Amino acid sequence: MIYTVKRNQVRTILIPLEKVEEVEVVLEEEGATAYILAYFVGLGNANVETRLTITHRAPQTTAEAKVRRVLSENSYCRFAGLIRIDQKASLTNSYLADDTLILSQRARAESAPSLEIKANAVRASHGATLGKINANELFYLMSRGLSEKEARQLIVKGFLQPILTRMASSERKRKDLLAKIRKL
Amino acid sequence: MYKSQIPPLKDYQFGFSDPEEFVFKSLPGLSSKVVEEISAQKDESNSMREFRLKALRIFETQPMPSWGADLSALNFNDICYYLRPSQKLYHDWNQVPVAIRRTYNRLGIPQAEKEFLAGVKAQYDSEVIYGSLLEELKMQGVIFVSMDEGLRDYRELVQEYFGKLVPPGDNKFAALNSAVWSGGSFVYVPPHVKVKLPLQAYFRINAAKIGQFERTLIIADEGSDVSYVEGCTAPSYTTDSLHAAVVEIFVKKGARVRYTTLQNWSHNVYNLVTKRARVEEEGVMSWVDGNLGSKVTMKYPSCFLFGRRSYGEVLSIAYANTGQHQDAGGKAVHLANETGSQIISKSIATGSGRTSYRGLVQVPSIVRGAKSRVVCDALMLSPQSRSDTYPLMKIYSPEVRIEHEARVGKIGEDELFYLMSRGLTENQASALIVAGFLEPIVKELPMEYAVELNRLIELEMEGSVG
Repeated sequence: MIYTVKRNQVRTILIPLEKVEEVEVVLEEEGATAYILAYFVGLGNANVETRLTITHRAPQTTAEAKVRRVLSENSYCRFAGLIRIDQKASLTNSYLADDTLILSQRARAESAPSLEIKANAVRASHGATLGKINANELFYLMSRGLSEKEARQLIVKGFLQPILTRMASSERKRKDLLAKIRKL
Repeated sequence: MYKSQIPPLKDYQFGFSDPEEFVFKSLPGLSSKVVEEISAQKDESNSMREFRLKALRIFETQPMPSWGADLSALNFNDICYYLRPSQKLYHDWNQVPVAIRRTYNRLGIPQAEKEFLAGVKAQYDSEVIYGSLLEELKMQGVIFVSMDEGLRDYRELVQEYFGKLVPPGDNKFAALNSAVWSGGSFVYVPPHVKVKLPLQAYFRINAAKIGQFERTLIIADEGSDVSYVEGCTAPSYTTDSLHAAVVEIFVKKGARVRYTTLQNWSHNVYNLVTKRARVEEEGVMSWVDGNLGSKVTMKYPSCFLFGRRSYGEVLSIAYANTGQHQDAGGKAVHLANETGSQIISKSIATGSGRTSYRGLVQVPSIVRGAKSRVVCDALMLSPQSRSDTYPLMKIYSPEVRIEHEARVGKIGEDELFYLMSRGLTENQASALIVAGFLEPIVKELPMEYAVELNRLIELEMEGSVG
């Protein structure tokens, strides 16, 4: 699956990680901008491996990729995100964040964010975090009367908010994601 | 004070070489005959000879790594695997052969020895030439000898640990080292002994096409504290040479070990090293890894955290100019509860050089309370340089706090402008910013190295801004 972004084009790309194995977003021409939102909620024995490549081929291109993953039960999810900046793609800004919540003992997460940068007048960075739900946040919500399950789902919904907001135009996808969250 | 321990990177002033004076030099190429020659020259036990031969067979069947730097120009048949510069080990500097002493004088070693250091093992080509240890340490029971001496005089202790953390089958270069290893240090620190001054070793590859295959083993017994420093150089030749070392470190309960390397091999050395530490309960392992020289470096110091509440860190500096590729990083494997790790990598690529960070943080399912933080910052000083980051996190437990961040870019225009508005030239401003960039790691180096490194950066900045 390849998405190409042309001169001065701004594209928002939503990527359900369980539906694809390889995605490439190519910022092909000057001024191209891409907002990428990738997500995954893992239940049961789900087994997902996805590789996302963001390639900057022209100067003054921008990409911002947010990856949000929630793993529960016996799920496994590997995410590899590569930001590649060609030598002529100077004045590029590219950023990738991969955040994962691990909710169960048997869930397994792998994160491999990478960079291959061949131009130096750029700003490229990435970050990754993995962990469970903050115990204090959970406790606070429960002290307000929510059950542990309700609290957990509310927090996960907040965690996935950047994704849910961008789904405003696709009611089907939104409903599916919310249904998944309710199973956690 | 080391005057020129680390030379300016532009003019490699350690590119001199002494005419080879050796007692024994094996023919180029690798075979069981060569391995047996090495073993015979060292008068080794049957078990070590067998260990070497078995490792050779493993080396021959193992493939080259399918990832990492370009090793296609490395020709194993063209390298001489053993050279012995003189017959015996000296304990007094004045007994060491003149030519060898002169090399080390030019490298500034005896001055250092006079000054503060606890004990110096200086390695010239394949044998450890000179060592001395302060009487105090001897009385405390600290052992700091060459690996050969260790095998001979502390046989049972060494054999209990040798090859247990990095076995020959681990990777192709560990197998090579296991077959032809020569030199390196053996360090043992008894329980609760704190070694106040860093133990130092110095390596130098002299003859062209010699491999340097030192093998170091450090055992820090319970509650002990020791710091070890190694610096490496090689003369400039037109042909390539190889450095495939193995370092194994055992940090026992409550012990602390810091291992500092400042590698400044000339730009025709392939530097392929396996460094690994095993850390027991409440132990602390700290790798400080400076990679300034060599044509290709592949090195990922690791901490295997076996004990509860143990901690491991890798602080890495990499510098690559045209014709260099530094592929370095670190690994942290959390095998017990409440373990912590930190990897901080600062790299600078200039000219058409390439720096790559490669790392692993791993937490299996049953481990609780693992915490890890990885920070990789890369500075690219020229438009032709290249910077890569290849981290991997394999997190199979929810009871963790794992963070990773990486940033790449050039020196900020705003910062540069600000400093220049304060009266600094562009070069001075760049040098200051780069020094600040490296500061978190440089401040962990022994003072002489830190000062030298800063001076080097300044010199480098004079030439290559933009």
